[in-house]
Amino acid sequence: MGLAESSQWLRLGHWKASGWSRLWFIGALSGWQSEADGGDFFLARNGKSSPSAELNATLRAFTRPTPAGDEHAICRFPARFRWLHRQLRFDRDRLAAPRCGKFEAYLKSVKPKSAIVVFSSYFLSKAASAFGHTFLRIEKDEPHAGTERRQLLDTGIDYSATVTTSNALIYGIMGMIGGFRGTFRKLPYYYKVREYNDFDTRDIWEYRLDLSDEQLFMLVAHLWELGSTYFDYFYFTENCSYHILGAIEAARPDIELLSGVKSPVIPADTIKALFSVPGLVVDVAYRPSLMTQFRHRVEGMSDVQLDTVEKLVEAPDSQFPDSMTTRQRIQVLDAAADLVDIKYSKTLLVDLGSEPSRLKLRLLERRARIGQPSADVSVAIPWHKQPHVGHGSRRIGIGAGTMRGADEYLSLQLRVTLHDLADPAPGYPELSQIEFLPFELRYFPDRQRLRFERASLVRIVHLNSQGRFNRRISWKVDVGGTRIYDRGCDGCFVGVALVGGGIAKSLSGDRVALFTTLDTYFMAGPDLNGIEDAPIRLGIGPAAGVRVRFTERLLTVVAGDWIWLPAQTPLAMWSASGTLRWAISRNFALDVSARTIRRTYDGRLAAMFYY
Amino acid sequence: MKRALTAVLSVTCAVVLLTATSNSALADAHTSGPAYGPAGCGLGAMLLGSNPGFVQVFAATTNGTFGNQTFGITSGTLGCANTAGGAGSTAAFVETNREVLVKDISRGSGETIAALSTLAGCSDPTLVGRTLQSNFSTIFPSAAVSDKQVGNNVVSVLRDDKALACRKL
Repeated sequence: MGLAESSQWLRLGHWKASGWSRLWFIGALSGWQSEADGGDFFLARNGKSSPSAELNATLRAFTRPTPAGDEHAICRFPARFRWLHRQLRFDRDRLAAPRCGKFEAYLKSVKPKSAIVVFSSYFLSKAASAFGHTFLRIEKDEPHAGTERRQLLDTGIDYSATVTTSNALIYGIMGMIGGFRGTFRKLPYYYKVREYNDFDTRDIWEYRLDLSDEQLFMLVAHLWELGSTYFDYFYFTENCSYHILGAIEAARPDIELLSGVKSPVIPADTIKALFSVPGLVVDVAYRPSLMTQFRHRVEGMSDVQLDTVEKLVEAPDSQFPDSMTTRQRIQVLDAAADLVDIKYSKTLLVDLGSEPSRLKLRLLERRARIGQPSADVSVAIPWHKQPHVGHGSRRIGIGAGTMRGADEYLSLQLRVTLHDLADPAPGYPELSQIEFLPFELRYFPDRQRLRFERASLVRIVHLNSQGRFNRRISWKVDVGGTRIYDRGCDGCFVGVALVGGGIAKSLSGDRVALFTTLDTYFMAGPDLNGIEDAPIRLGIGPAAGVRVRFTERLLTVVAGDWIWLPAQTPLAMWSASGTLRWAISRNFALDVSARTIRRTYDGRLAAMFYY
Repeated sequence: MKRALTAVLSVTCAVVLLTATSNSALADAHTSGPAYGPAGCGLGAMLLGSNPGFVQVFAATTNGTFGNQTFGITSGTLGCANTAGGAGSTAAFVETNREVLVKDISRGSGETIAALSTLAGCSDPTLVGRTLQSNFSTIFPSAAVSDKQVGNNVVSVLRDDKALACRKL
């Protein structure tokens, strides 16, 4: 095997064995295909599909005197050059010696000291961020500056899609079929911190990588090479996290990262992939979001202080109670200012003269007049929320159950991704559920029948605990199909779209969460005789439930709902269900579930594997 | 079979309509006049684009971006991406970090003050914090003062106080 098929070269060009070659008998006939889609990335005309042609073209281009300066291949492909030079020890005198001004300036601005993979947490309020996001921080080597809190001026490098449509539907489709171009961008880390930590209020986790100076140079130089090309962006596969791993692999040819990552590529899985290489992650750090900082600020406050915070965000000139010390006044004003930022994040950015921005300024003027520096906020790191300690992103469940005390069945459940409220809690947001393609198949041996019990496209529950400072609603969405059992249709499988909104309240550190929502249903199925005898049902009604986390690995969720079906048969539907799940280890759980079906029940025992 | 297909199709359509309309409703909610200049480094412009509501839903916060060359890897390190130190990068930093910096200045301490001291080459971040805090009203005379003006104000406060010895300004 020559240089052209060495893993380092293949990774620098992002060549992957093309689809057919995965079948062994055809392997010899097939070839390579690069994931890079921008033409400029290849010096050979057939470079995208031929690593060897590209290697030859690259070597030839290195020896040519033209084009001069930044456009020369040596300047455009510094990582290729560095590696080939090491392999071939070519005589520098025989090569061109272009001045790579732009690349030098880039290196000087990045000044790499170490590389960190940054994970920005799950964010359910925005569809494309629901699974989290990863990007790189390149730590700047600045011996003169103080050691701490210099991170803001480091370089962030992310991979993102250039969106060219404003239509939600087209956006969704294009995102799935690779209709957008994904490019690498470089921006000061403070942009990312402001965007994720503050604007989105997402906690950030940082994973420092073990890279030698040489490997770090290769990473930074390869990112420069990638800067001139684009990849077709696939939301589920070739996404941000995928290409970040690809760039790291190019700098560390000795390790495998991408081969172990499943499809769809979940950002947290790529963090787990980093941990699959012993010693690759040398340090984990945490950067609390604005919301987390605010919660920390108000945690130990007295009722008087809390009342004052609440008053100040409405009327910034409110008097302090006389008993309040200067230190307490400072704490109250600092908390109030954070709360204004959380409540009015968008308005503050968009409209400078607005009421909220005047409110904020007034609070801060009062704060500044007191003088004295505020103490730093030091939030205890919630280690159990690190994304890589969570259970596997896919789940398979095998079990058995009985319906109406008579019909026994075997059950197979699959879920492509990610987490529900009863799954083991470590590594995931406490009060959120996001499931993509979960389904359950049942086999009734007595009747020798196999059928779907339920199958969803997507199922999301997002609970927001109501509190003095949080009035956000809770909501849920479920799109898919389920089997219904009632007078109008006993045992038929129908399509369901459900949207609900309501409130939730969690107690004792999210151990117990109570929630209630008003849900609207749309159902459709050939056997339904709903509105005007059309195969459609429309319904609305209340739902309520409780989730209890006894321990991180023993949880229960009990819920019920009642649906009014105006002018339909039956006039109403109701159900109640409960689940108790005990995770014996990170990726294995036992589950017992029960639910009502028309005055009788359906009970099931299952073993669940996360992988 | 045909009925089943119809059912599936109608579910799909309902969902599509639902998502499409809810998103555009969101988009419409924030199209009121933006108050930042086109050439600024303000976070609003960067996060929300020139038509805030529109981009908010689809791009900036969804791992996507509208073709913005400011942050190309190979397109240089000037303007908003400059963290080399000096008056230009100090002003850019102030513009982007305004909403946090205004808090940190009022508090006389914080991460943005430390970063700012580094960019301006000042020797003592604690002193910088104290000085900016006591000049709060000079730096932020009103809520409507532009990001750029705030940047200039910070630079001139730091520059004028010789005790700070901000050698990069």
